[in-house]
Amino acid sequence: MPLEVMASIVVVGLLAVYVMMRVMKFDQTLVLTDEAIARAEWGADNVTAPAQEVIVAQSGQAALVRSRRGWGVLWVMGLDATSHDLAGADVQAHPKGLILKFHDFAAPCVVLHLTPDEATAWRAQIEEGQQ
Amino acid sequence: MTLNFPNVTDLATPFFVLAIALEMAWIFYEKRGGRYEAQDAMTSLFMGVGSVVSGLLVGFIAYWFFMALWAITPLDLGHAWWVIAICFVLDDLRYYWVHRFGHRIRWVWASHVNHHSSQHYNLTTALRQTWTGTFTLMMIVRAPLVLMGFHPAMIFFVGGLNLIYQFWIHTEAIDKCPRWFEAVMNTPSHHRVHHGRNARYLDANYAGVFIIWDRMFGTFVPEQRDEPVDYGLVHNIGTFNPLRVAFHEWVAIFKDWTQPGVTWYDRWNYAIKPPGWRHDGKGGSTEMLKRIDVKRNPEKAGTPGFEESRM
Repeated sequence: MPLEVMASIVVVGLLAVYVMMRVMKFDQTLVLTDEAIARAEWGADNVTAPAQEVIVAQSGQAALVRSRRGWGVLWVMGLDATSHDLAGADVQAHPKGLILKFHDFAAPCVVLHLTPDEATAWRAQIEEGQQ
Repeated sequence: MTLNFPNVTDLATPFFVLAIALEMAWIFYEKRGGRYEAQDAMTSLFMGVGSVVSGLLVGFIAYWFFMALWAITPLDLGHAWWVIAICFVLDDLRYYWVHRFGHRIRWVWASHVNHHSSQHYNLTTALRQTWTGTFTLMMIVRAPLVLMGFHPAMIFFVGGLNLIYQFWIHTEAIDKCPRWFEAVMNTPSHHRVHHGRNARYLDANYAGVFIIWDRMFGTFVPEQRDEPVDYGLVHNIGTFNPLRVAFHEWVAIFKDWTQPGVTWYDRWNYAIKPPGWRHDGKGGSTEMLKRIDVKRNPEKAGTPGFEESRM
């Protein structure tokens, strides 16, 4: 197959699939509606370090989780969630709440959607947990 | 002798796009049979495009390697249909072992991990292919086929057919196939197990086309009705960026190599030991995760995936 034909099929195909997903609302995200969901998501991603304490953000987009390894963060990625320990992470203010930079190529950073009060409390908790 | 075989994966591209659209429509209208999420699916598709580009850029290395072997082998089996059929079966056996190495040798896992980095399991996941396969040097496992007299063009052809077969099994829209088919062939059910991060399903069902290899070599685990597959990595990555998806494990190996206090023997082990190994003994393993699960759920002991030999 000529390269230009192949490239055209790929470009049109990618656009068509993307438009279909938007139309069919396949762009909705997981919401951590309660602690149990956050605890389960953390447990699936950290089998050897189950959650001991969980603080879910009001946005339902993230949770602070304490395990035997210390404090970590769980956050929503699309319809799923992933997690990261907070040791060594940099925390900075962000218009939507806080931004965490992990210095990890596989998980460079995450923006946490927090209310102003949450951002203050979470920042204090994160920095305290890192000491 | 010059042999010309069609590039079947290129020819299948329009079919791939159409099948993805049909699967999405099925899930949308039936409200069952899988999940789609836009960012995840687009990442998978970009990984697929990148894999093709990677093949165009560095595929010549494998081609030259095989043609060099072809030049020195005194054997030529020709291209009768039965030779192609035998080549297909033997290449599938080759696939089984390369795939098994891909999960048990971190150097090869670094290339293959991206295929498992989605937490979804749909037809786009099939296209979430490696960009770095050439660098694993696993082409060596195909060398015996060339030396046995199978022409490199034929080997690439059957390899393409193998990949196309594996496309349709990346779906939750198909539950189980007829029993005789499930016994011999790799199916959506068998391959769902392979993509699971549940302890029960780790390091199982490496087959490409024929599931018989897993049954023969003791790596087969059937999908359990009472334990739905949880897709993804044991610890998932935190990015949809295709560049990070493609290279993150290579970067992790480099970081392990350059940390203070590691010897050259440790560096060697960081490349060839299974993913999770650490020089300080603090790493994890498939066997450890299975033991933890059985400790928490003693009733699972001895059931598929938790046999004594796997722990």
